[in-house]
Amino acid sequence: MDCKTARQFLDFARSRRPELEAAELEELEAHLAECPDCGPLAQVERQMDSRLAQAMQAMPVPDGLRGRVLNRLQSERRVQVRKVRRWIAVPAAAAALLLASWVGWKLLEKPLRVDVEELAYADYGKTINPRPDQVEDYFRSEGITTVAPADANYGFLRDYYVDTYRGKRVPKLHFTDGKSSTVVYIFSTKDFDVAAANPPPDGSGWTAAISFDPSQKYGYLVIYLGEPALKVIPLKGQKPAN
Amino acid sequence: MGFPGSQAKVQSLVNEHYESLYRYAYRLSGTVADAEDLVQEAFCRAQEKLSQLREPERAKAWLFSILRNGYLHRLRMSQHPRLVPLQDMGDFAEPPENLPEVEPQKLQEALSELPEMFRTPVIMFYFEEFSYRDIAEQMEVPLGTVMSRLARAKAYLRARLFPPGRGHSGL
Repeated sequence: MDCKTARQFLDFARSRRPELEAAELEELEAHLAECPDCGPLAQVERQMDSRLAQAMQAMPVPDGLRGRVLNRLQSERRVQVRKVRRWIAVPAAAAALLLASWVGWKLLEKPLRVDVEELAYADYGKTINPRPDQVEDYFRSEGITTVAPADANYGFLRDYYVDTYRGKRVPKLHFTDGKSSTVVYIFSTKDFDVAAANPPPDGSGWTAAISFDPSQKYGYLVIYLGEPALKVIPLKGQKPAN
Repeated sequence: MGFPGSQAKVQSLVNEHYESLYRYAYRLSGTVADAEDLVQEAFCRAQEKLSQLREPERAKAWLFSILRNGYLHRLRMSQHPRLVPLQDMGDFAEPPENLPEVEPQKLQEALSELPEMFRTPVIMFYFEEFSYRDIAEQMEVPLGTVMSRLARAKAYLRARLFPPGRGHSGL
């Protein structure tokens, strides 16, 4: 190692934080041991560094400093908690005010008028001479596109509405002759495996049948409740009831 | 903040580093009161930003960085008296062969005369846990700049604290 390199390396060869590779350090020390110029220079440099480092760190720490720091940190935490509570309190207060306003509005709200004629005509209109397209229009207004069984006997239709099955909204038709009832679920074959529907158990007192619309997009699950079964939909080999 | 886990972490940082942080703060600022304020503020900042400390082994460097930033902020707000522009100092005399002990108070006086950009690297250098790279990262300057400033600062301290001696061969 030459003198120029040795003097450049000297700064990186601090005893407590050497930043040279072991081989470089060894080479440097070997040069310093032999060189009449670099050796004494390094000695003085290192001695100065040692003296300055000692003096730099010979600084008494004030009594109680640790405690004062910890107390200050605790105060800061309390201030932050109060700030967070304030941030929560403002929207919470606003929410409470809104809730109180809503409750107050509800309490002051007048009871709604019941119009019997309106209700009677609504139900009457639904089932007076119902037709498949009328039924389909109703379900469309409920947000469901479906195809009502075209050749069912709608003279026995007493009600139709949207039911919920397995999380899906399913059109349901209710037929009755006053003694027996027939329920027809209209399932979308995209959502339900109608063909795999399990048959009713023996002795259950009810029977069921399955048919499909011509496009096969909709399956009709027909459940006959009561005796004799009110057969309102012509299924395979079956005729509609009179 | 306020969660038991982070409180314990902050307390651990205080226990481990408050003394060296105080010494660094004192060497930077020159007064006991300022040093204590700087330490308290540094730990408060550290508590706020604890999530930024990703590598626990870098905690000391991180705390020193926070403290130095706090010190620089104060410096901008006030005027620093009696700074010696190192570029005007010319060549420095060589120290004697056997160097005397340095009085901590005299060291502080000499340090206070240095502009901050020279004072910080020399203080960090003598705390010895900091590599040149650490110092460069903290000061956000190139390594070469750190080496240059350190050399000038050390030369100044040498001239101030070790009066010229006899028969010494220099650089």
